[in-house]
Amino acid sequence: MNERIMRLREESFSTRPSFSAERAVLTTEFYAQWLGRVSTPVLRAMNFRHLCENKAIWIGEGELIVGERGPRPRAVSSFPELTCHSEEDLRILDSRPMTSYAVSEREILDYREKVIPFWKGRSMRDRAFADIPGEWKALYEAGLFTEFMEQRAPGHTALDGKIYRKGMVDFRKDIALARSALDWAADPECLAKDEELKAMDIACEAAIAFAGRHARLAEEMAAALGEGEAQGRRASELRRIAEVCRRVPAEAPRDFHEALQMYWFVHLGTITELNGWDAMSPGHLDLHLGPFYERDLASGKLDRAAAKELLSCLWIKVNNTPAPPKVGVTAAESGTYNDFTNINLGGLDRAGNDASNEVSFLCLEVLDELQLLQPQANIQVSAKTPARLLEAAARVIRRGSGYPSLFNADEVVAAMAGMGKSLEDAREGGTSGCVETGAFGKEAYLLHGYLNLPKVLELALNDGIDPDSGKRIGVRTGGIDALCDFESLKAAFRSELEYVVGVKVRVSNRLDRLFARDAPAPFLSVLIDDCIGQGRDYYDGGARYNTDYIQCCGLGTVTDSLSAIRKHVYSSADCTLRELSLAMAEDWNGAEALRLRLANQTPRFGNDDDEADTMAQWVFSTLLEAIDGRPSPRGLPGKRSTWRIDLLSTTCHVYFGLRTGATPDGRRAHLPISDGTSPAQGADRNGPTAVAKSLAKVDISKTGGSLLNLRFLPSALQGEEGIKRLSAYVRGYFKLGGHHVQFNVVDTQTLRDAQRRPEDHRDLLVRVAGYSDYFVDLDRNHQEEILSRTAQEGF
Amino acid sequence: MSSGMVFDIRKFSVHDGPGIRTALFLKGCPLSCPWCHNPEGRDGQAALLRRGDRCIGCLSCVKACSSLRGPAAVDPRREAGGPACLSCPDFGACGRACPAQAIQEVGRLMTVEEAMKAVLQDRVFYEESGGGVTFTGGEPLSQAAFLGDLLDACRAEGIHTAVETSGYARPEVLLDIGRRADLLFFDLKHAHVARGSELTGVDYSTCIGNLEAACEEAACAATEQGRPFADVIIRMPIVPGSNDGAAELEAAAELVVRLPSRGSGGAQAGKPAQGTRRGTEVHLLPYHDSARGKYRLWGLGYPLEGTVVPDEARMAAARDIFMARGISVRIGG
Repeated sequence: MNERIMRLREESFSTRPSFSAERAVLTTEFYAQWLGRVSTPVLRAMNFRHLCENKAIWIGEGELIVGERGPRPRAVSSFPELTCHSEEDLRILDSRPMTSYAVSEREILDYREKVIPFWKGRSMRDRAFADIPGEWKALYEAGLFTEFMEQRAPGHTALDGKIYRKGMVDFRKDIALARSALDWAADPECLAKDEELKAMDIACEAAIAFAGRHARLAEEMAAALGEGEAQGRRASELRRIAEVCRRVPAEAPRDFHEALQMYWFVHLGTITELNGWDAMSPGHLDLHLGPFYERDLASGKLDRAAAKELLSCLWIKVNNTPAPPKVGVTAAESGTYNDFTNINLGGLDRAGNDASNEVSFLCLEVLDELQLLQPQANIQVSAKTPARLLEAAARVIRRGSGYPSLFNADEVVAAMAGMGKSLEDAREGGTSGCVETGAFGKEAYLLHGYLNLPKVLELALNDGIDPDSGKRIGVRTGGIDALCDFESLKAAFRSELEYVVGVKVRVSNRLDRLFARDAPAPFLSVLIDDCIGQGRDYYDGGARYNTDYIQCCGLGTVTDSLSAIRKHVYSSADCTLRELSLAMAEDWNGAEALRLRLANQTPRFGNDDDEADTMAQWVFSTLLEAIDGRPSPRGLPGKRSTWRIDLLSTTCHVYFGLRTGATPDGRRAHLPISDGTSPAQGADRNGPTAVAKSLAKVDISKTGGSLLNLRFLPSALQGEEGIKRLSAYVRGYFKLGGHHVQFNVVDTQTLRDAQRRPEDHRDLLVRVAGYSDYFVDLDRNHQEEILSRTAQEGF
Repeated sequence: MSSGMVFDIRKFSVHDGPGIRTALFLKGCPLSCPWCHNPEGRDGQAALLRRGDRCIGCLSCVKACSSLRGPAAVDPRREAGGPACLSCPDFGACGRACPAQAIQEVGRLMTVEEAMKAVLQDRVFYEESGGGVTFTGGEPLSQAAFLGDLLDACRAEGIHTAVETSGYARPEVLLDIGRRADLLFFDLKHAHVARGSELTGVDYSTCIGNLEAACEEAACAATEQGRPFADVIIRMPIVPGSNDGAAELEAAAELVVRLPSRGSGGAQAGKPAQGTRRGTEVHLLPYHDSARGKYRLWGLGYPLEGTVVPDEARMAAARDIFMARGISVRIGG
């Protein structure tokens, strides 16, 4: 890390995130003037242009890659057209102890006087909630599921390589061609398509204008610099920045520097236009940058160190953009500053060859040196991935920051091909967000919320009644008196699941249509095939592939719970369902022996025990039956999106745990349920290979992603042999068909010490879910949850 | 097929040979080294381990056991799983009934098939890592028939095997096992028979004699086709006060130098890599006191109370003594 990067990194690391009302005020002004005068897509594009032309722009001291979403680094924009913060929300954001955002009185005044009065009742969230069925509300409030679209726009988008071959000028030509090809004589959707294409064209213009303003600012700053060597050096850097900003994103980049700036302007454009979940990701960054790097190196334009410096500048830019804060009740909960930009390294190219190159290693080095929250990276490990890359990744993992995470590229490609994607598109795809599989640049794969599986079992055991409130929120399945054998329990679980999913999907489909109609994303649509060709928005099925996901949480907990009931109630009959039910209602008070018997004498998921693992397979296939293939209204007739399952929990397993009483696996009420596809906390007692074996018995290729968290003690991975063992472990797991694994390499003592003295461990990064976060930024529940994960020693 | 007494199976074992391994702990050992890490592995019979700290007083053990059920007011914390229980007709029933895992059955009679089922579960990881199975204990040679069958079964499956042994066995037993295994970790506790015997409680000349014989066989196998024998790696625990004096280490190094080795026969055509090795490889294992808690659980006094764990400098000094003689040596397993 050179002096420049050290300073920029330190600024980014230590600047407290702040809340900026700038975007909200500009958007409010614009909507007040233009709402109803133009079509919705054009309105959205013009608003985007309004922002690009009027927001404050920033070129920081020593920066080489330029552009911020907010008026300054670490200042977060808000999106009142989707969700409008209340004054109280803003005060909570400012004052809450964890992941707070500085909110000035000026911002609050702007909100009070301009933003809130306009958006109250008009924002997407207000309108969506105005017409929500009672049964949905009951399930939502009981903690059966969450809904992504009540806070942010649908997202999880990553880009393919097109922006390194085409600039906005080229896209405008494509748009013009598509408009001229509209069949006004026969196509009843012509008007909608023409408006959408018009909007895309305006969005391209806006992006060019935004870059042009940076070019002018850079030139002005250069001109204002005085004499002297340092000043002269900076002046020439600024003139170079101006040159780059005049080139991209209008035209395709010609060199490494332009390619990075191209990506950053595009990234900024998409996260300024809307606040899609997981921001934006560059996809296979090494694959895309490789040719520029090789060319610049050959021509002498760049050396390795200069390339690394530029990459570091991009990294810092991403870190300057914390996640937009949530609104409503969730404002009181701490979350994360991470907005989930996830860079894919390694993997395959479109032709199926190993895609790694020297830039893969550069990215790993930058990731390792900067130790920042964002962006995070993953390695797509294929059978063709060189050992050198996997071992380099293992060295970074061993340092303990939890990244990079590792994915089975061959499985990811097979999963996508199995869904009907072309092999080439699948290979150019990979993983975005936390663990979500998608065809980069060609797919709208939208996540709609988490589903609490242990709570579904709770309903099945209680005749559809939520024991927490005593209200019937599920369907009548008879309760424990009717559950005379294990098959009847399975049937009850299936019925409750079908019902809950049905309610969830109906509302999610409605929100999906609402976004398609009222919040199109014309700039994003320019970037995703085949929105231009079809004249359709990304949110309205314009993408080549469309998929909708429900993220199912608690596979481990629900598997162990069913396994416990099967064994202790129905098989060895050492307790009755009534005894069990009463003990759970009392949260095991006075029933410790029963609780321990259930926890310790039950075949549990994660031990390579077929008895437990076949139960996990049953849960999995039941989920598939309930969700997979349900129709979604998005997409063209004949190419409609369908609903699928995803198996990640992010941090939702902690929230769901809070809403779920004691479970038959001996878990106490309100403790976290199992995360992702990991075994329940402490259930795995046969080491990490057994965990991998258990998980590999579930056919993850039928899902959009799984998540396996493993915690290793540093001693298990010592020396060169430790690196080789970690690599072999990953290769073995992937050979079995595993999808994803990530590691925390940290001892309990360090974590406890960080709890006691957070100030000494300010930059201790740990793997939380599909991402890493600073341990001291996590609330106590999450900290304890990480500590409760089985620590794999290596014996 | 034979069966044997196994007291632990540990997967992802990382200190017992190359790659990712499964370690099988065979119960029973005639030695009584004071630094022993697995005191529960000495006795060849299954035993019960009481974890009073875990007991919740639910009396499940008492209800499950015909011997305990009789007397009124049994205190499970003191009476269940005790020495008297070894001869109980319901042996182990208390542990199986205990929900809190406060009574653990240590040692289970397993058939070769059962053991192999556990071994084969991690095959993919052995293959990716160049790992395999390590038989340890206890002294695995004390269950030689079972061990031999397991080694053959592994070989039939193409799984790499290692055996950790003190070498205390009849020479023909040791050599037979050596022919059926891929790697022998041969303990060297002390170079002097008298002191070795004093430390281990057995006639240590047997161990040293077997070490020499094993190295001889290994050296011959390296040069003769069709005469298989395991590679031999010597493992020496460095235990302050027991065997870590400079003179003691010098003597150990001298002993190693004199052992027949694959290098001593001269490089053979077609086997250059092995022919260039100088002497038998030595691993020096620093004494550590992590077994102290285990002794307490078993109600045993810790024999090395007060012994200080050797620091890095001390280990490096020990290593240098071997290195000075051209021995390939490393610290740690």
